[in-house]
Amino acid sequence: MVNWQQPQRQSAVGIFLFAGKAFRETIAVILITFGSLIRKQKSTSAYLIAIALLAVFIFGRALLEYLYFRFYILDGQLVVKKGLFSKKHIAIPFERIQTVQLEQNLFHRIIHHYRVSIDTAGTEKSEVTIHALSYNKALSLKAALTEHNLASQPETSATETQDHIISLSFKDLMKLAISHNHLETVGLIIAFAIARFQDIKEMFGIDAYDYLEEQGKGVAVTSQIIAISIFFALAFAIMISVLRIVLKFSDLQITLSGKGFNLKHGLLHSKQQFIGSNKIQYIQWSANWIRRKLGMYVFHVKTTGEEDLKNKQRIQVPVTRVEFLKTLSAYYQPDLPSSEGDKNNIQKVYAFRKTLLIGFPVTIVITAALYFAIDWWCLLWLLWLIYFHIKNLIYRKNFSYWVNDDALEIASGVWGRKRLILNWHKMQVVSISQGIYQRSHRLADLIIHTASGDVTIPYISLQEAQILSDYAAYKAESSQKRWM
Amino acid sequence: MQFQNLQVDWQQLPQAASVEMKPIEKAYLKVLYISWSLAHLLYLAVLITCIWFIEKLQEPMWISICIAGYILFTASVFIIGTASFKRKAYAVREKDVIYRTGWIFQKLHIIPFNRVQHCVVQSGPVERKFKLASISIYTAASNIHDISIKGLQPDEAESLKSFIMQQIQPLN
Repeated sequence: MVNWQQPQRQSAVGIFLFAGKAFRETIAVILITFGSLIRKQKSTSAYLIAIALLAVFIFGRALLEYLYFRFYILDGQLVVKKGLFSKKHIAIPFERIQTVQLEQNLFHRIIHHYRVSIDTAGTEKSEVTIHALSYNKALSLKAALTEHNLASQPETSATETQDHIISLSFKDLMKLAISHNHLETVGLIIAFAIARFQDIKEMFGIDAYDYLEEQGKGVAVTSQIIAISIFFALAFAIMISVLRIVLKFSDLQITLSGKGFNLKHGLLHSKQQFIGSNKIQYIQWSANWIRRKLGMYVFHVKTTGEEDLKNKQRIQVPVTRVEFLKTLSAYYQPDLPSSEGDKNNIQKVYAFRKTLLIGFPVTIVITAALYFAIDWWCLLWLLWLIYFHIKNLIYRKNFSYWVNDDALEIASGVWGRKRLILNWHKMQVVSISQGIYQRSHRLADLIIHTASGDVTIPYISLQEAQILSDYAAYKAESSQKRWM
Repeated sequence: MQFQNLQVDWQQLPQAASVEMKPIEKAYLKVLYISWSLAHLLYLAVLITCIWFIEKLQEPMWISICIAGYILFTASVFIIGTASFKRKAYAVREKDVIYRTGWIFQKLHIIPFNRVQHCVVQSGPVERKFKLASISIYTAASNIHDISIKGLQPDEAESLKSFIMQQIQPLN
């Protein structure tokens, strides 16, 4: 049993992890140094001196970081003291702790250790990472930090701890990978390639773009070559997507309890995420067109201060069977408004107004710019305007919302589908917004601001917006439930 | 503990739209005019410097475009800003603050006291000259960190702050 009242150090193997971190942070300097040594054709002794100096710097820094990093628990707070020259004293009250994540990369797995990341709510971003803790210590710390969530939720503690484990089969993983947004993957590959080209230029003074241009001069660009390139790019993107999905979501397990969601996944880089149920602001599930046809969704848990969290820490769960959605959503809101209430729609004029206010100005500017480049072919841009308007018409048609005493539910989407559930008492500020046209037609947008972003219902009647905003305010002001 | 779950009649709820709103101090318009004038003099200085140093801009056509653009921009800031000022108003209820703002896009915000994280009273040099202050109300809403009601009497801003701070409930 660990006494967390006593200041603790990380495991000594943490020194290697700190060294790894220092190495990664100084990689650019290292590469530039060696690049310049290569260019100046220096002797072997110069390399040895450079390597020795770098090793001293990296391990010296790692050792100091290790020695000056201590943490303990005091009066319901996690206290972390770190730094030699610039000292930092971080105190995080338990109730501000948003997520406690246990992560393992390959090195952690070999030595049977975990990295523990603690994220907090709000804008303070007082995030703490403990790079190496033994398995037992990591679990004990996680339990100590998350215990508060159970104690502070009398309404959920009545529910006996109940685990629902969702797992994905290999077939599910393949379906998920194939239906992934491959354009996003292509974008990531291009961004990665550009960054590496830049590195090569800085290190060795070779311009990779010029080199490629030079090599490509003799090649005639035919439609066949373009088609083959697109095919290979797509095949490569699918391959990368499959690899990413398999690595990320293998061994996925979700546990639901009175405390919150527990999520475990990852093949090489295993990750355990915990999120206290009272930190959840709203939930959402979405599917692109292909996933909708395959009956697959991605379930998002929107938590406090999520905008400040890094993308990798967002809680997203692939759901391959529709019945799992009911189980997951029931945890946040058991009575879905759509199961009992009437369906409401937004005004038909929404689509036309959006095309008029966004589509037309964009078309005028882009068509004018294109005219100078491609002459009257610029009118082809009008096809985009038609597509944009059709998109708006479909969006308007698919946008529905339901309300009940406890929650608001919104369904939306153009080609894909999105469903959002927001409990009224999670609202922070409610606003009614009206443009000139909306005022003359007694219409309004309703915006519910939450600690995890805004939820907007556009183009409803002013009367509806007023009733809903009054009700949201009433629920926030009268509810005894905690919003965080 | 007795559990209650009474039915709520939506029509009987207090309506924010029917609350009488209090406009902000008229003197604040002078603060706005001074601030805008200073800012636009700075923009003018930048514009003149650009014309001075960039030869292409010294052609009569470009000078006319620059001046017309500057006048249009300045006039629209003053016209829209003045109209927006006239609409700015607030109301304090038992459990929330209501703030109305905007002219082209009109907005009405309801901020429940039990969602307020903290509030700050502040006044810039021009505001102090006209004996005015502002109050910024901070919530955990991630897209609007604060709602600022500007152009209040300093005493009024302070008492509003004290009132809100009294109403803020602790998390537990």
